[in-house]
Order: sequence, then structure tokens, then C-alpha cells
Amino acid sequence: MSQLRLAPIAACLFLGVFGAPAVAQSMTELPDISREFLNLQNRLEGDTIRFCVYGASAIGEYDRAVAQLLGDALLLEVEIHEVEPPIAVEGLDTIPISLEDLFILLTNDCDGFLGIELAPDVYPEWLTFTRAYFTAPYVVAVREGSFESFAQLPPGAPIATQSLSTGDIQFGAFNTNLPEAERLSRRPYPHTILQLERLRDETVDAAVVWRPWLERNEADMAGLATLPATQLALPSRPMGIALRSRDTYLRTSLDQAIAQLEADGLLDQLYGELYRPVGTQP
Amino acid sequence: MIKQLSGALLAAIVGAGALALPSVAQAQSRLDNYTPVTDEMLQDPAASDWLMWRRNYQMWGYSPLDQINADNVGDLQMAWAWTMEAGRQESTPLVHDGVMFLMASCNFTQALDAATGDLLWEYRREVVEHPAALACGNRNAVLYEDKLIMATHDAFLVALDAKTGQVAWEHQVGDWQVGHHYTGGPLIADGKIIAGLSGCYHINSGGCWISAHDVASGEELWRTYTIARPDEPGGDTWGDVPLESRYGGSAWNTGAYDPETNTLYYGVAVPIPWGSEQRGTGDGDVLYTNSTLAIDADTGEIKWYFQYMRNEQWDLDHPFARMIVETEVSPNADEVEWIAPDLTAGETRKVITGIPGKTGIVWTLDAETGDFLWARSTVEQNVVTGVDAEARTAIINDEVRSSIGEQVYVCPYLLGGINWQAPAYNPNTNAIYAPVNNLCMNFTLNQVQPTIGAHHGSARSTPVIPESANGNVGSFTAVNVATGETMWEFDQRAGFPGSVLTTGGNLVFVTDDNRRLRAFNAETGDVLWEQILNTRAGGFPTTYEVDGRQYIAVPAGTGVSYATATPEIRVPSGGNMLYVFALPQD
Repeated sequence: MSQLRLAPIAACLFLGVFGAPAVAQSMTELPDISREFLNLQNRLEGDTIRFCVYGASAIGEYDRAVAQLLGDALLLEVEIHEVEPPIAVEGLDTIPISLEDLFILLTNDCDGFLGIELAPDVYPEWLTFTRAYFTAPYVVAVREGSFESFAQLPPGAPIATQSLSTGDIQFGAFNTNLPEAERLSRRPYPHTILQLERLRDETVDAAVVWRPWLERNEADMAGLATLPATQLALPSRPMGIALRSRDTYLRTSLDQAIAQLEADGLLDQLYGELYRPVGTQP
Repeated sequence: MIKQLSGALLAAIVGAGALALPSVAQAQSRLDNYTPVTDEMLQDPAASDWLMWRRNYQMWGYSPLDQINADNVGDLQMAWAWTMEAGRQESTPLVHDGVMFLMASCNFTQALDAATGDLLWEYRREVVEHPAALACGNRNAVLYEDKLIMATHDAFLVALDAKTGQVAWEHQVGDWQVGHHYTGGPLIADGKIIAGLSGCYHINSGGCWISAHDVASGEELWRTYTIARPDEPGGDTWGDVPLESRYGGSAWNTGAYDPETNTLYYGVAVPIPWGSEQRGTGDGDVLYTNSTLAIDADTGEIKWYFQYMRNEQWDLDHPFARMIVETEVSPNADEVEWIAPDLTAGETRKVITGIPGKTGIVWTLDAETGDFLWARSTVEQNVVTGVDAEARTAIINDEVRSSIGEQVYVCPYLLGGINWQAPAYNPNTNAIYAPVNNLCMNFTLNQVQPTIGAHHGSARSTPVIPESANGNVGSFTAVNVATGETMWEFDQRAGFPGSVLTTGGNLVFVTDDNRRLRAFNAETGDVLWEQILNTRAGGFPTTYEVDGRQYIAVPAGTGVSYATATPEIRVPSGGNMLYVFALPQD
């Protein structure tokens, strides 16, 4: 990670920070970063492709394996650059680095950054993305035996969300549209580890979480279950690889490789090998 | 951490020039004659001393010294200067028995001979890789007994031996890795160290607190949280948001203290994130953000609170210096927008007054009860439309509330009509002298996911000079505390980021964004003296007397600035420097 002290004071990725007309100018320009922090000679070359991976994310382990799979498909050697933000919080749906740091990473350390949520109109124009290589929904987790469907949750039941995550926003919109007497009680928490802790200690009755957190091998699902699809339509998060916009050839190559791996069922197979899809845990 | 001047080094200094010898010897005698600071001294400081942030418990920024006065201030000249460390400049030079204690950025502290600037000792605290960019804006320490007591950028309390600079003890209070730090320094009250924690504009669960500590060890004696707990009074004002997701409430300036009632008056900053939609608190008041807390210094119990702005979302903090003044209360309705309906004019009361928040509004409350008495604006503002005296809060303009992503025009700008630069109060004129600024902003709340330890990133904003200001950002304003009337006003293009010093010499000193340090006639507002500095002055000016000579100390260097709105005013970055002025010696 660069020594440039940007990340701690900046917002997480996928924030919509650059979404408004007032800052339209910055959408079209490169970040204002001193050249001393940039390795301007370092471009994709030879037979090696370098991927940045944030290992502390819910799909960090999967991302590493996908990187290798993509390298193999493109007949390239793979180098993994493990990103270590100054502030690492386990259980966070977003990656705690700034767009400026992402720019530096994509200039100096890697050709692509895996595990970035695809979303329209929120990223600057110097950034581009591959097609999604992974998609997973938010789900509702409960204590085993407590509720069998979302509809059973009584009005006022405390529901843990991760503050201002996609799932939280969708849940908030759903809840606000309910008649006041039927609304649930939104309890925002800073990360999913705490959401699940509060679910276990019965502070809350349910938790809206991104499903991969429950499917990691490290996840302790004992005593927990997920509710089946309900009237609460929670969003899915499509994840892609972030690249500098100048790297159009690389994006095309990666898109083709992802499409082929997807068609061959290798991406799903890989996920099944590394994670435990909900419902199959011991 | 301590770097002591060794005997060998002193010898080298002496050997460097014949003129150095007398000053070193004299400097040594300053420390030899240093006397412990007592409770009595803090309550009634000697005219020659400046022992705490704003010199007295009432937060006046006033000294009775009058050797330099309105008749002779035009003769003022530089006595000595001292280069300070690089970094944020928010220092307050403290002086006792002719020794100056100068705590600079990141708590780097030096003891100097206050008559010459000769170095006596220095203390360098290890600087941590703090996530908060503002952590090293350390404003003040306090002198007590034989110690200099500071609150640090890494959230410790540290006591140094005033004569040697050696660490007597240190005590960790907060966790700097999640953003905690101290910028406002400690005060001594009721024989205890009182400190307000900051850094809760980074995401750390449960918010900040004000705490009391043992003077001999730093051990915590009581703690008062600035964010109401779910199971305590006011806890429901945060709705269903669990304690782990209640953020904010930094107490980032030193409080005032009334020894007669043993009451502390502390200000509390904004909730985090700023937007109620971001917080998930609905239309809850989110206590005790943007409030004055009257706290029992013995127990930490909240005696009363007054919440200036409920459910605030524009970063219009209210943590600034509260002034305690005994005054007639007769607000003039021609100039004072809001007056308590049941106020009996003409009574003399002990009041809490000043400009506690970035709105630039002068608020006057009864010190004993917190009851609202009167309030008036000093700069363009469109957030407060009235005062609900019974509910003890401002009435907020709903038109400037916004959803995530929606841009609104809000006055003042989030740097504030005023920020941490402190006004001063002069008892001879019964006036507050306020360095306020006219700026508005286009303001948009972000969709941002809170990350423990990271900055909240709540909003983006751009400053705009309001039409009513006629292009003038700075407005140095004198307000009568009894009537609320404007006594005089000095408007200009350059903003006023500097703090105010007023004296018994009928003088008021302040600096601006354009490097001008000026002395004003306290009664008339006439400019009596001006000195152009190397840069603006983010530190707090103080005055003191040594060997019968009065000095004015001004720490120059960058702190808060309004110059983004006046790009033609070019000021160099860096260049921290302490200037000390005095009248010529016969």
C-alpha cells in the first residue's frame, strides 16, 4: 500500500461520492495525485498479470482463486498483490480505501482489482470494470427455530443491518413503505460480525447480511439459519474487476475469459469448493 | 521522548557567543524561581500570568495588563521571535513566573524564557500514525502545582515536571487507532483534571466523553458520555440505533468552569454521520450533540443541558468556548432577533454567553438553570428561524434539510461563521469581540458506509460568499453582552481565522487571512496598530509580564482558513513562528 496518507480520511468504495453534477468535473479527470507517488513506467507487459485482492472481504479467498483461474485462461503468470488498508475491519461489505488509493494501486501495483461492486454512475471515468464474475444476494439470517418466514417477524422486531450497505438501503426503503404500525425496527451496525453477534445474543431477531459472510469456511453458522425468499426483495451484488479505463484490451480479454469460465461452470464450481453454500453447513 | 538540554549542550550554547551567557544564566534562574500553581492562582490569576487556555475559568481571553494601551500601542515592536515546529498551528503560549510553555503541533513542547525566548527544555512526544488529520492540532495545556498537564494527539493525558520537562506520569484515555485524540486541552477544576475527548468524527462506537482525572496519576475519576446511552435519559432520541452505531459528540474544546457552583460548561459537537438519513435516527434529537452540558465537577452528573440544534446535519458544530459573565440582561429588540418571552429586562444575572457554534449566533443562557435569555446572529445564516425557549432549542428551517444526494444552499459554510478561533470578552466594555466570517455553501449528503476508525465522509460542500456580504468574508464584530447591540464592526475581504486577545489597555488584538495582526480600540473599533506577519496566525494570542515589561505573544502559522473563498489572497503554507511584541525599552 502506498505511503500516501489518503485512505483513512476518505470514504469507502461504492459510495456514490462522485455521483452529483456539482463534481462532474472530477468525473472526467484523473485524481490530483503528485507524480512522485506514481510509477509511470509500470504497465502490463510480458507474460504476467497482476491482480489486487482484499483478503479481508467476504470473498477474498474466492477472489484469489479466480485471479489464478483467469491467469490460467489467458496463459499468463499471475501475481497477487494483497491490499492492506490502514484500517481493516472484518465484516465490512465495502473495501476501506479511497478512490485515490485505488488509482495509485492500479497504476503502481496491479492491472486489475477484484471484488469491486458493479454499480452504475458512481465511479469516475478513469475507472472501468469487467463483467461480473460473481453475484450473491443479501439474505435474512435468524436464530434456528425462531422464525420460519420473514412474514412471521412481528411489527417492531429489531432487525440488524450493516449501515448504509446496499442491503440496508433496500431494507430501509421496504420498511418505510410499510404502514407505520407494521414496521420493523432497523438496527444499523458497522459490520456483519457484530450483526451476527447481536443476533446470537438475542439483541435482534434477524439480520440482513450479504450471503458470502455466512458461507465462508470461517463462518460459524451453528444455531443460525436463513429465511426463504420473501416479500422483502433484497438486492444482489454483482462483483467485477476494476481497471484503468486506458486498459481496454485487457478488459476485453478478461471479459472473454470470465464468460468462458462462467459457461464452463468453473466459477460456480470454484465457489462450491471454497465456500459452503447456505443450507449445506453441518 | 524527552530531550533534555544537557550540561554539555548548555556549555556549547554559552560558548557560541558572549551575549548568550547572561541570557542562559537568567533563563536558568527563571526555572529556579518557578513556583507551583495553586487553585487560588487559577481562580484569580496574577496579572502577569497566563495559566490556562483563555486565561481564566470564564473563558474571557482577557488580561488586565495595561502597560500596552490604546495611547501607546502604536509604538509596539518585536521583542523576540521563535521558529516553531511544522504542523498545525493552534498553540496557546502559557506563562508563569516568566517561563513560557509553548505546546506546538503533536504536543511538541518547549519551555522558554518569556523575556527572551531562550530555550529551557523541550519535550518531544512520539508521533503516532494517527488516522485523523486534525489530531495534531493541540490547542492548549494547563499549569497546575509543579506540572504542565497536556492532553495528547494519541489520546493520553501527560504531566510534565514544569522545571525539567521530564514526564511525571502519563495515562491513556482513548484509543487513537479508532480516531480518538485530544485537540482541546485539559483544565483543572475542583482539584481534578477535566478533559473533553475528540476524534469522534471518525467512526468509533458510542461517541466521545468528558472525564475527570486524578492530578497525581491521571487515573479516571468519572466519565460523562456526550451521546446518550440507550437505557438512560435521552437515549431514545437516537431511535432504535444501537449504541455500537451511535457516533459523534466530540468535546473538542476546553470547557468553562464556575468555582462558586462547582459547575463545568462544556460544548458538544455534531452527530456522525451528519445526516439523519445516514444515521438512521429519523427526526430524533440525538442528544447531547450540539449542546451545552452543565456538569457537576464533583460527580460528572449533568445538571442541565441546552441543545442549540436538534437533529443537525450540516456540521454546524457547537463545541466552542462558553463564556461566564455576570451582567445586566437587557436585550435590545431592534438588534436581537430572539428574546425569551418571559424575560424580565434589567436584571443582573450570571450568564453563559458567547458564540458556541458555527452558526455565528450569540446565545445567552442563565448559568444556573440553562434557561434561554436571548440570541442574535452575527453572520448570514438560514438554518435557525427561531428559538423555542420552553423546549430549550432553536427552531430549524426545514427547507435546508435534505436527503442523500440532494444539494441544498446552507449558511454558514461548514467551516463556520466561527470555528475554533476564540472570541474574547472585556469586562471594562462588557463586550464580546468575535472574529466571524460570512460564507455559505452548496451542501450534499453522501451515501457513505461507516467504517470503524475511518473518517465519516458524510457530505461534500463548496463555499459561496453570500450576496449580503458584498464580497467581504471577514467581519470582526463587537457585541454588547447586556443589550446584544453591535458596538462596532470591522468588515473586510479577508476572513478572520485568528483568535482574539483583549486587555485592560482598552485593546483588542486579532489576525486575519491576509497576515494582518491588528490592535483595535476596544471601545471604538479604531485600528491603532498593524503588523504584517509571515502568514496567518492559527494560534491563540496571549499577553503576560516579565520583569515589569508587558509582552504580546502571537503564534503564527496555518490553522483554520477562509481563503478558499478569496483566492486572490495568497498566503504561504507552513512557516510556524511565535512573534512576541513589546513597547521599546527606555
